[in-house]
Amino acid sequence: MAENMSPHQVTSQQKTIATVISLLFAVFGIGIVVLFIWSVLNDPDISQAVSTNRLILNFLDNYGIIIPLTVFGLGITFINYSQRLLSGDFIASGWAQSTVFWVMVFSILGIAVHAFQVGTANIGVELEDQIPFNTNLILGLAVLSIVCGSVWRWLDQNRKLVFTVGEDTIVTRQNLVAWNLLIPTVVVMVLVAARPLERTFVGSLTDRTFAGAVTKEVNFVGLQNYTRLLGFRIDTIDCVRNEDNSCSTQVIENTVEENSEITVDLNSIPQLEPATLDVGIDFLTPSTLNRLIAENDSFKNGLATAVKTIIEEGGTTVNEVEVVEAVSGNILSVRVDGTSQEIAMTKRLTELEGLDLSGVDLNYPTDVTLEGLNTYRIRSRVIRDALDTLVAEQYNPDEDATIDDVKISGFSSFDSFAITITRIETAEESVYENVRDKVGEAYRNYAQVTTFDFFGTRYVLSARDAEFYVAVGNTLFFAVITVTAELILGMIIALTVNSKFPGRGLVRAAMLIPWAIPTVVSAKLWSYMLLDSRIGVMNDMLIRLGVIEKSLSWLASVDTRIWSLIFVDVWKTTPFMALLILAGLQTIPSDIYEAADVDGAGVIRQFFRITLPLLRPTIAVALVFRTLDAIRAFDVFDVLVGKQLQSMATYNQFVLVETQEFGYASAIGVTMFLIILVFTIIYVRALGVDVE
Amino acid sequence: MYQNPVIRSIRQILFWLLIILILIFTLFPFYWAVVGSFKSEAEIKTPPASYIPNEIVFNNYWGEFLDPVVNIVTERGALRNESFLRGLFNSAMVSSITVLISLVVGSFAAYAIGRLHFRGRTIMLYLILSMTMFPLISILSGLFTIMTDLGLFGSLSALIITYPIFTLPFTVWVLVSFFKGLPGELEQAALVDGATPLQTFYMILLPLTAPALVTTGLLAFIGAWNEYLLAVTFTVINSNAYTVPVAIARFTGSIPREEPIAEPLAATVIVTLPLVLLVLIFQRRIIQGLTAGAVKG
Repeated sequence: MAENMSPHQVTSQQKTIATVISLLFAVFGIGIVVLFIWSVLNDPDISQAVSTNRLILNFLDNYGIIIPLTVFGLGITFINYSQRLLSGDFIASGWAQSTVFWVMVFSILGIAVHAFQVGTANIGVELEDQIPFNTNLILGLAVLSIVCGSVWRWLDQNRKLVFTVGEDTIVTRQNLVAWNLLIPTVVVMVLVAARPLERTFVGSLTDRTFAGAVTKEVNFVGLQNYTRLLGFRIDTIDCVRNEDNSCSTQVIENTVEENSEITVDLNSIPQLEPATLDVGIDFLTPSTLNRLIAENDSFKNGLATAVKTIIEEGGTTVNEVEVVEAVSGNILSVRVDGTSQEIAMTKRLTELEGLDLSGVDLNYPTDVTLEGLNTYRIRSRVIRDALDTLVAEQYNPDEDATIDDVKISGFSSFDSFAITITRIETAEESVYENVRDKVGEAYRNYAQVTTFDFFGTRYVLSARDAEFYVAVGNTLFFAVITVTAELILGMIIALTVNSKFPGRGLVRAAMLIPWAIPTVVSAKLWSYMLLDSRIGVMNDMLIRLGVIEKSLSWLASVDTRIWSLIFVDVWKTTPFMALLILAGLQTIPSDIYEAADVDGAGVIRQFFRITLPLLRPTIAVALVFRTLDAIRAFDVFDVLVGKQLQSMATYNQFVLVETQEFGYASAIGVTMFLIILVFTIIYVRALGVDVE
Repeated sequence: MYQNPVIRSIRQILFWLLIILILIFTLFPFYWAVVGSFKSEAEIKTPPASYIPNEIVFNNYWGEFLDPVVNIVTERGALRNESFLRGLFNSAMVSSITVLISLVVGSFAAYAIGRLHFRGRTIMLYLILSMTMFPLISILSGLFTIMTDLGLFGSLSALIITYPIFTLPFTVWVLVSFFKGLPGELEQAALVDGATPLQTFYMILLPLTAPALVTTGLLAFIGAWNEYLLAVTFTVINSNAYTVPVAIARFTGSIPREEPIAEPLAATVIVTLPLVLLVLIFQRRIIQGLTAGAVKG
C-alpha cells in the first residue's frame, strides 16, 4: 500500500533492531521447544520408564497431546516469523507484533494470578505461617513481559517503515485483527475445557488416586475402570409359584430409616418420675425449681442440706445454708451463714444426699422453651433413653413392618416429637442372595440393581457398580419427568401471561425470581418447607386442603424423595421455560390468529394448528438446554438428599472428592460426556434444531 | 366478536385466578423464607406451621443467644456469622472478576465473529456453541488435577479461572447476535475515515453495545454467584474460600447442639434479596438476554 512506501530512509539502527528482533523470535521458537524436550527428558516418569509402552503412556498422562502440539506449533510459528521478518515481510510483522503483545499480557496476568492467589491465601493468616511469593516465577514472567513489551512498542512505531515486502489488504488485516481478538477466548477454552477434557480421558485409563499421603505409582489399566463402571449381567431368578401364579422370591430383610412424628402427653409419662428417671438438676428450669422451693419446704430443706454437703466436701465447714432461689437450671442462689453467694450444682437431683423427692411434684415443666427442651434432652442421656423407650411403646407400627428401633430426633413441640424409626422391611425386591446362590463365585463382584419381568420370567439386573446404575436410573427418571412437567406447565403459564392485562410486567418479574435464586438456596429453602411434621409448610398446607391425612416425610421416605426433588426443580425452572416460550409466542404475528378467527377455527384448533407448529423451534431449543441441564443436575440432589439418592453428577463428585479415585471418577465423567453427547445428537436430529 | 357477558366475566375470573395461582406458585417460597426469618426458632419448630409470625424477632439477622446450660451469652444471627459474611465477600469478588473477564474476552471474540470475515470463523462459532452444551461435571476430574498441579486447589483463583467455562460461551453467543444486528454502514463510515478495525471496535461499536454488555454481565454475574459444583469441589479443603452457595449449604447456626431453621432462612433472604432487586430493576434486559439464544428476532 502506498502509505507503507515511506519517503523516510530506514536508518541502520532500525535495521539492526529489526534483525535482532527476527533472531529473537528464532531463539524464542527454538527455546521453548528445547525447554519442553529438556523437561520431558528430565521427568523421572519418562527417563525411568521400563518399557516403550510405559513411556508412551506416562507421556500421555503427564503431557497429553494438546501441550506438545501447542509447544511445537508455537516453536515452528516463531521460527517462521523469524525467517519472514528477516526478509522484511510486512504481514508477518503484524502477526509477530500481536504475538508478543499477547505473550506480554499473559505474563502480566500470570503475575497477577500468583499475587492474588498468595494474597488471598494469606488473609487472616499469622505472619510466620504465610505462604511466600515465588520470586523466581515473578521475576521470570516480569522479564518476559518487559522484553515482549519493548518489542511490541518498537514494532508498533517502526513496523511500517522497516517491513515493506508483501501487500497489506483488508482481508489480511481483518484476519489478523480477528485472530488477535480471539486469542484470549482460545486460551480460556484450551485451559478450562480442552485440556481438562483430555486429562479426564487419559485419566480414565489409569488407576490414579489422590488418597493417602504417599504418592502411589500410577498404572495404566486400559479399560478396567469402564468395565468396573459399566459391567452388568442379567440373570433369571428361580421363583416359587404362588397360587395366583405370581412369582415370589426369597425375601431378605432390609433396614429402612424413616422419620415421622408422634404426639404424647408428657405429663402421663411414668418414666419422668424423678426416682426412676434420675433427673439432673439442670433438667429443670429456674422457674420450676423456684416453684418447688417456694411450695415444698422439705424439698427446699433437702436442697439446702445437699448444698451444705457440697460445700463441706470442698473443705469448708458451714453452719447454716438457706436456698434463696434458682438463678438458672443448675445455679442456685444461697445464703451461707448469712452471706449470699451462688453455687453451681454439679450433681443430679437423685445424687443429692438428703433430698427427699417422694412428695415432690416434678410435673413436666411448662415454661421451658423449645430450644431449651431440645438442649436438655440431648444433654441428658438418661432422659433421652427413657423417652425413646416410651415413644417406641406408644408408636403403633404398620402391621407389615417390624419396628427395630425408635429414636427421638427432636422435639417438634411440647407434646410431640419428631422421631426416627428404624424399620425392618420385608423387601420383596431384594433377591441378592437368591442370585448369588445360583450363580456362585462368578457373582462375587456384582450387586443387584433391579428386577423386572419379561414374558413371565423374572430377571434380575446386576452390575459391578450398582450405585452408578441406580444413579443413572434416578437421573434419567428425574430428567424425563421434570422436563415434561416444565414444558406443559411452562406452556400454560406462557399462554396465560401472553394476553395483555394490567400488571403483566410485574408478573413477568415475579416469574424471574425462582430462576434468579441460587439453586442451592432454593433447595435449602425447600428442605425446610418439606420438613417431616407439620413444621413443614408443605405438609401443613396439604393437610389443611385435605389432600393428605397425616404428615409425610417427603425427603426421608424412599417413595416421595425423588418426587420432592422433581417438584423443587420444576418450581425453579418452569418460570424460565415459560419466559422462553413467551418470547417465542410474541414472535408469532397476530394477523394469523385474526385470519383463523375469520375462518372460524376454535381456540384449541388454533393452538394445535398455529401456535404449536410456529413455536417448534423455540420449544426445541428450550428442550435441548433443559434436558442437558437435568441430566447433569447436581445442586438439587446434593443439598436435598445428599448420599441418600444420587444423580450421576453427585455420584461422580462423590467418587472424586470423597474417595479420591481420580481414574474411576474420570471414567464416570467420560461416560456422562458420551451420554450427553448422544442425547444432544438425538435431539438435534429429531427436532431439527438449527444450530446457527 | 360478540360474546355472552356472563361467559366473558367467568372467563375473566378464571383468568385472574390462574394469574394468582402462578404468583403463589412462584412467590410463596420466597414469602415463606422472609416470614420465617422473622420468627423465633421455637415458633418455627412448633407445628402446625404459621403463615404470619406471632411475634416478629430480628435475632436471626442480628441478635444474642443465652445458652441456658452454661449461662453464656453468645452472638447469633446471619449477619454476625463470620463464615457466612466471608462467603458473601468471596462470592462478590469471584463473580465480579468473572464478569469482567468474560465481558472483556467475550466482547473481543464476539466482535471478531460477528463483524469480521476471516478464515476459521465458522469453526470458532461451532466450538463456542458446543461449549455451551458442555457438561461441566464430565471434566470435573480433569480440572481437579489441573488445579492441583497449578497449586490453586482450595483457593478462590481456581474458581475465577474455571468460571469462564460457563459464562464465556454464553456471553460470546449473546454478543455475537447483538453485533450482527448493528448496521454495516457504521464500519464503512469508520473505514472511510481511516480507522483500523480495532479502532472501529472500541471507539464506535463497543459504546453501542453497552446495553448488551449490561445484560450479559448481569447474566454472567448471576451464573457465577449461583454456581455450586465447582465451588463445593474446589474449596472443600479450605472453608475460608467458601462462596455463598457453599456457605449456605453448610450453614450451621451459632447455637450449639441445635440445627437451626430460622437463622439459615435469614441467610437465605440476605443472599436472595440483591438478586430479586436486580431482577426487578433489569427485568426487561434479563429476559431479552435469556431469550436471545433461544429465539431469533
